[in-house]
Amino acid sequence: MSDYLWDKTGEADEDVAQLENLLGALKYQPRPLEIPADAMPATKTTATTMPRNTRTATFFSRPRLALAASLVLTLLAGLWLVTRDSEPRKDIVAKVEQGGAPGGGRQTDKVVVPNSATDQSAPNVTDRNTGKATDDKTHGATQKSSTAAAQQLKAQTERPRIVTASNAKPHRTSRQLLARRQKLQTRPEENVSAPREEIVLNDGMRLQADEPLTPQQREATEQLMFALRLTSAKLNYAQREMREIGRAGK
Amino acid sequence: MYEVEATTGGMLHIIGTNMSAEASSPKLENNADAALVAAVRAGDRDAFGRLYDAYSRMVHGILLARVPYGEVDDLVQDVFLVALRKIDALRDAGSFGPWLAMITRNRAMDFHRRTRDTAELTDDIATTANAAAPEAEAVEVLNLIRQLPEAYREPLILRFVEGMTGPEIAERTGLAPASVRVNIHRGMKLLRERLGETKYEREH
Repeated sequence: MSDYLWDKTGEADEDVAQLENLLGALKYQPRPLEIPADAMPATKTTATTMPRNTRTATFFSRPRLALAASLVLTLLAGLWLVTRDSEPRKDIVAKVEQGGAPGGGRQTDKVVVPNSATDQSAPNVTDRNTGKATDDKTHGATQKSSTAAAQQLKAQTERPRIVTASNAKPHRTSRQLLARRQKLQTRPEENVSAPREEIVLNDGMRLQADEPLTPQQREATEQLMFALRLTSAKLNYAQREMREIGRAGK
Repeated sequence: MYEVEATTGGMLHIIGTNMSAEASSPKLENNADAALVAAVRAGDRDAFGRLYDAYSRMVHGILLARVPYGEVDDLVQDVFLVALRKIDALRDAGSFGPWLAMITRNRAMDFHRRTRDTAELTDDIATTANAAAPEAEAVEVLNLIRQLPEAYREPLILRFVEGMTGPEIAERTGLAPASVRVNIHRGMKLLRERLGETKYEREH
């Protein structure tokens, strides 16, 4: 089907032809294009005015910087992870001094703080704290289990215990202990018989569960965090620069 | 044939003779454009002259749809100079036409932005000052077209003023042929109505 208005094929409509003739008078009258002499080379000189060595140096200096920053970041992150993981690798032993139970006398048991909920062999510290309300049978059973736990503790302290990263949750354990201590402090009538807890590391170092960091430890932590932040910021900057260079290169 | 003339003041004139470039297949046209753009990037002025010949009508038509008639010729030159300076920024050398059309539309917007604060000439004043008597009626119809919705102005002016066919308009501007066709037909319908109203007003 011919469509003169669209592609000038077929028979022309009268008004369309009239408009073509009328408006054709305004069509573009070709005239020479005046190009300033510096217009053409300008597009090429922008790419060539900069000395090649300088361009090469600026192009490669940024990736080097990015590489160095990423290496430093990786190193610091690794260092941080190693120091962080080294703590739970040591056996954490909670020394629970249990005493003040009615008729039960004062007992001192060393128990291993269970690192996972599935560790059925270790005595449950929570059960021991709430054991006050249990009957005599239960109490006797608890005493038996505590004796067994003491024997188990001896065996465990003799052989080094390896705590993997998956089941080692030192923060959570500390938090649990801290929460429990606070809970006990809010109950003054039970506070007398409440077990006092402290964490004994394998190397003999003793830590209170709620013991705050020493100023040196805090300072070291802050320095490490600052270094990590600084490195991260530098890496981000280098990545941004790389992106811009890539865009400019395109 | 293309001539490059060196003149005083460091200006070079590119004079084209092949002004009635016929529309060929879009693919071939794109390939030819890509080759010309590559040549221009390599510093070939003659290649830019060919691009100027092929696209000056399109640029003129797009500008005519947006700026006063008397300003169009100078702006055509401006647009090509801008295109020449920015040609390295053109990613797809085969889409020189759509890229140039975009530059042209932006240049028309710049024109209106810059003249906003100054005393802006109305189309009537500008056109009557620049148009000769035989063109007066044409300018009047052109003003009618420029009052149509924006989507219809450009294809109608390229069709009637520059004499381009619909497929050629679509290919040069990078617009979809179907939408160009629809816009030409709907624009023509509206223009007929406006022309009828004008005629009626004159007679009464």
